[in-house]
Amino acid sequence: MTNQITEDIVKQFIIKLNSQWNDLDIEYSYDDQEDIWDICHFNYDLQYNNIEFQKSAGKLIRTLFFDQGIFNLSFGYKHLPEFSTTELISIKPSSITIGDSISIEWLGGLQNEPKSLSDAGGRQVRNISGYTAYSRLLKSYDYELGTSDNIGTTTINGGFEVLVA
Amino acid sequence: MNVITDNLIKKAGHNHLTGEWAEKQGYFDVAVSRYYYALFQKSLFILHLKPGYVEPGGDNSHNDMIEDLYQEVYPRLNDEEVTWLAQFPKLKKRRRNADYKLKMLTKNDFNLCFKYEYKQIAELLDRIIGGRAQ
Repeated sequence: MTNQITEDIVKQFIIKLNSQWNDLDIEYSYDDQEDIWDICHFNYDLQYNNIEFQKSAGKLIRTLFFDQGIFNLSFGYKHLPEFSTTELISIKPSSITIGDSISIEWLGGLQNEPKSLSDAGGRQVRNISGYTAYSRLLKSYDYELGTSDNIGTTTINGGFEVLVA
Repeated sequence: MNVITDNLIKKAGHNHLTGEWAEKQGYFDVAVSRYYYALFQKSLFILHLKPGYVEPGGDNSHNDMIEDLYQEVYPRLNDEEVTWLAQFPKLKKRRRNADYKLKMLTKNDFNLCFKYEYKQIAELLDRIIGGRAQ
């Protein structure tokens, strides 16, 4: 069961980490089934290549959580899984075409989501809300999920990483 | 130390080797599963060094074991290692997805969402175990 005291500590952890890395986007959620607080961010470089970040985060985890007897915690980089635009359906406003690479920024800036099949050209669409649900920067959009061997990596704002076909 | 707990280290070694093989074959979901269990068995070994340790049971036994591990080893870890270890539940979730979800991991997903975390946690567990995990 979620615990307000622990949630306050989670918020405190995020505030303290943001005081050192103010552009770091950190999210948290409580998994009721697993009884675990999941804190994640989207900066690969900080997580794996920045020892100062690793030390600071570790010190905070030690003092705020572990020393207080709180161990139901997960912290780390969240990789946004890849998706393909191979079957991308033209939407309004349409500035992209099938097969284009699209960025998180582009997704975040999209205002007019298709409300019906006719808006999406009459083609069946599936929602990738599972993909976007993790980040408050993202919304739900209608794309055709798919996979591709032709994957590239794009880094946005030095932090967000998305794999696109 | 006894034969039974030493077997956990042997099993961890076997799982690691199988994970390496699967990764080379491009079987990334299998690699995730085997690598995760290598960590799990090393963790159980460390916990069994504590006299009278009772393995958790029930639906959340893996999470409970990870919490036991946190509690047991964090005083011996450097700050950066605490950050590395805190990724363990994420790997557990990756393992579950790799075993049961329909989507298959690509090499990119594997590298970006599992491999580096695995190496970091394996490294610190090996240090605690003291070279037993081969």
